[in-house]
Amino acid sequence: MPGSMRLPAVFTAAGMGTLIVVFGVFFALPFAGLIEHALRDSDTWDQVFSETAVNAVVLSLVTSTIALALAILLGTPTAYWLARSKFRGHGILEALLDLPILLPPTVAGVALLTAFGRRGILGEPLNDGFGLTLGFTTTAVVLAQLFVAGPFYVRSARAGFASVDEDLESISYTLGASRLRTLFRVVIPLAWPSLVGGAMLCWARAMGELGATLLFAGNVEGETQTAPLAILTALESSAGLTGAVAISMLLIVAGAAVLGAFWLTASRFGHRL
Amino acid sequence: MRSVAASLGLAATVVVVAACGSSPDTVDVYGASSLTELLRELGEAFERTDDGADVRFNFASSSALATQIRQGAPADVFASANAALTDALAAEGYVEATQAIASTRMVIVARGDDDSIHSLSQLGNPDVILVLAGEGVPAGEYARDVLTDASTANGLGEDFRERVLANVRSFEPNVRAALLKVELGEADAAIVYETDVDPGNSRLRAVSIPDEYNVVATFTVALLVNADESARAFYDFLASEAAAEIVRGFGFVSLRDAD
Repeated sequence: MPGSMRLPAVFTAAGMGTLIVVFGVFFALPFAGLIEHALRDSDTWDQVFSETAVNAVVLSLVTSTIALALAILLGTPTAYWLARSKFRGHGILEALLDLPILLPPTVAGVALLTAFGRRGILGEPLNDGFGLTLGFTTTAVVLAQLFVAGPFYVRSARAGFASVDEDLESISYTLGASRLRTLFRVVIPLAWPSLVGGAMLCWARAMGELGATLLFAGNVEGETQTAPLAILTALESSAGLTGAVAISMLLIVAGAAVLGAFWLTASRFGHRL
Repeated sequence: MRSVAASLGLAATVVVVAACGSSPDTVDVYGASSLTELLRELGEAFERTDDGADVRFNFASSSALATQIRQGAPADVFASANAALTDALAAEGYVEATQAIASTRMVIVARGDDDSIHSLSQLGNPDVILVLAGEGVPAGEYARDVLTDASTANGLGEDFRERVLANVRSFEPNVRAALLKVELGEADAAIVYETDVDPGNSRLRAVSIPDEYNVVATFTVALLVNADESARAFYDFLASEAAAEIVRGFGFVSLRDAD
């Protein structure tokens, strides 16, 4: 190489490979630790299918899925508009939709309370006028999850839509297709991987949500005690670390199974589009 | 081979730099959340003394802290709201010495802007929104004890405890979180420590619990094994009259002479 500069030794295949291995081990060890604890303490297996664990994981699965459905329903048109809009203000809306990602979840919970709580901007009139309270309900769980996880879907969808060549849409219109038809037959299929990836990330984030749900929705088994909350509660109670590990096991297995099934179905569907 | 070594060296450096945290002269105090203000003040007073060293805090429910200590968290001193938790740690060999430093009683905290709740019996009424600290959290246990004591035929009815628990819309991970819910107006009332309610806070209103049903909550401090000189000095400072005065200043009963 002319005027060659010696790259630091790290930048070789073996060097990079080592860094990758270190990174991989870093992520694998905590899971190995959980499994090691479960193997060491046989009580763990009894608690994996306890009523508390099952209630919590089922509630998490249901609420996260509803939150995802809402994110897709409301977020897809928003993402498309953001990707195509030349309107000046769209930068602000985009920043607004990215903000929940920056907010610490507990602060998100406080924010949700100030908006929808009994003394909140929308919550107070709802409460005084109709006796409706959103806080401490399963609905609140879904709303909290939508708030913190929705942006992940919108960002990914927006990027996916933006990467679709607008000329292709124009061609579709000149061939006589309506906007809606173009959206469903041209744009979405082309953006499909981003939509699927964004949906999976959104769902996973919703499953893991703790701070905002605890503050806004509370913690009652069967109604608002999602899996992360059940794990936190177990750590506080006599169930202790063993109880926490047990619920975690169930959560990880159920979550991985659903994500895996979703990805497989979505990929296959995508190939047919 | 050089590149592998270089990468491992890079990774190791990152870990070491990240781990550089506590210097040997800091006292790491793990304290129950209800002792936040008291412990901070005690820490500052200690830092001003001759043996004073830096005091750092980790506040959470006593039960969560006990779990952390069992998992090897580097605590020097553990201030617990429940002697049973400290005793359990002692039985497992984590504790060198303990002392009871303060006690307080339970109280009902209600919203400052709403006069409707003014007695314990009302907590059993339908449509009252309550929050409590969770099971296993000391404040939650004390609250349940109060409810149990009141649940007699001559008291507030044998089903009183059941009726109250049915009104609980959230079991919080620590007592301060329960207090927050009332302060935010999300819950109508909670049962917390008397010392948790700041008289100057207009969003909160304390409602007393009849003596015959109330329980005494005792806060104990444990010096953990492997604690160093500075931690020992802090532990000893807590037994001093200066410390006792600070304890009383925050509304607790000092147990300095009680051991």
